[in-house]
Amino acid sequence: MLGTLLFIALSGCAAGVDTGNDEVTLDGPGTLLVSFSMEEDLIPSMEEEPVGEFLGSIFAEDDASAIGPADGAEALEGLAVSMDLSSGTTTETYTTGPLEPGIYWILGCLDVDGNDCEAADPITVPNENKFQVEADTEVSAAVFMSMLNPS
Amino acid sequence: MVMFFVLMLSGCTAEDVDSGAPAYDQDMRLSEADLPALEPNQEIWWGPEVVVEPYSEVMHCLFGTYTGEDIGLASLQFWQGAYGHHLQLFGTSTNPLDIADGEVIDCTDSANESMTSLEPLLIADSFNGEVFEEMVIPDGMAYKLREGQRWVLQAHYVNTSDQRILVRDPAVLNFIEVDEVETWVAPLVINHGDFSIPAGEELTSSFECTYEEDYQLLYLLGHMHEWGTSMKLELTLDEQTETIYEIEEWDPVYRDDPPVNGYADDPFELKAGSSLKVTCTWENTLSETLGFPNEMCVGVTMAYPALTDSVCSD
Repeated sequence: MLGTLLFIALSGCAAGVDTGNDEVTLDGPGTLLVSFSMEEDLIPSMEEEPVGEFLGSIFAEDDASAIGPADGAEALEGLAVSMDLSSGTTTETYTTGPLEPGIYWILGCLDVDGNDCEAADPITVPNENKFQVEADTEVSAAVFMSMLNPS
Repeated sequence: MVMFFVLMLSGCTAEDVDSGAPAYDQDMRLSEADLPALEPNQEIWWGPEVVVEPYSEVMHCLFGTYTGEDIGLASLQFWQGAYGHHLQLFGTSTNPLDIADGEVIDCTDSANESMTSLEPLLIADSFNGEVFEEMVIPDGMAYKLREGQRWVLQAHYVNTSDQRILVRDPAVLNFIEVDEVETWVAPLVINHGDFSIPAGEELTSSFECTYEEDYQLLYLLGHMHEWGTSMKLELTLDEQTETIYEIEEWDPVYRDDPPVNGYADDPFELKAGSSLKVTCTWENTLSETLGFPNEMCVGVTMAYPALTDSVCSD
């Protein structure tokens, strides 16, 4: 952030300089290249191996909060990705469809027993899984499951 | 951060940037020279640097991310000068997109601080209004501080003077290497979030969790916000129920600095099959319904053996 601010501030110093170049605007949709991992230290306390399908949803920034999706919020896109997280990470990735620039939540769980996001499945903590989509760019988004579903 | 941004932009003008006379009357920042010499396994994390107005009570939160390798956090020491009320270290899941590393926010009011994102790292012992507080857990035990863990240093000041004071206090973290840790400790949390307090009414509500493994508890505390009036935690085993924590008159200041039951010298046994029930009473003085996360009802323990946080929630 500091670097970003420094860059912005220094850019501001040169704002009056006419370089003669045509302005290029980036305002098209971008995508997220989603990777997956979970807290490795949770694995010993799991009854099932951390192998299954990540079942997730992408929500716009205003449609979720630190405690999850808002009532009635509709996901922009669903994810279902098979993976083996026995080592805590996987090489499986998922590329989202085009998303307008902005902030998005990717919320979900690793369904280890084929019964959807039930208790004790690894789940995403919302605040840890919020990502910025940039215009005309593919941005990496590291989805992390840091707790087991408590309910 | 906004101020920093403004300062950076100001630097673009041709005028000499006047860093200005400090906007305070008294510099009360602690420095490393105020502390005992650091041991090799110790590190200082500085709290937020802020100016506190005369006759005011404020709380500020500084956000950061731990970027070192996974390590054991064995204990914490907090140092504060005069007018310090408490300094606390929390974990947080707050996303850097929302609050960046190095950013300080005014967290005096819970409206400015999403308490849902604060998590205990190592529970504080009760603060006695002294300038120094130490949190100790038994030798060989530690909380696992993981690379990438976001943290919050929360500093609370009550400036009873007529001076504008500049403050900044340190936390001294005592680490041990992961392979030297004999027993991991971690928070065991019971969170009652399924309640709704009608406007202008009082409500008492409970939630109970049963534990399937044996734990030893080092600390135990309760957490509510400013509409809380009383709370208790009860332990039931073999049909015998015992109240193990009770606050008959909840003080709003307990939101961030609650009374703590400390069992470090004689750990409290939570046997498999035991249940913990948290019961909270609130008075909703607002004109609208109040619920989680604006109000809370949480019991927090620091338990072992536990490598990861455990949350039981409704």
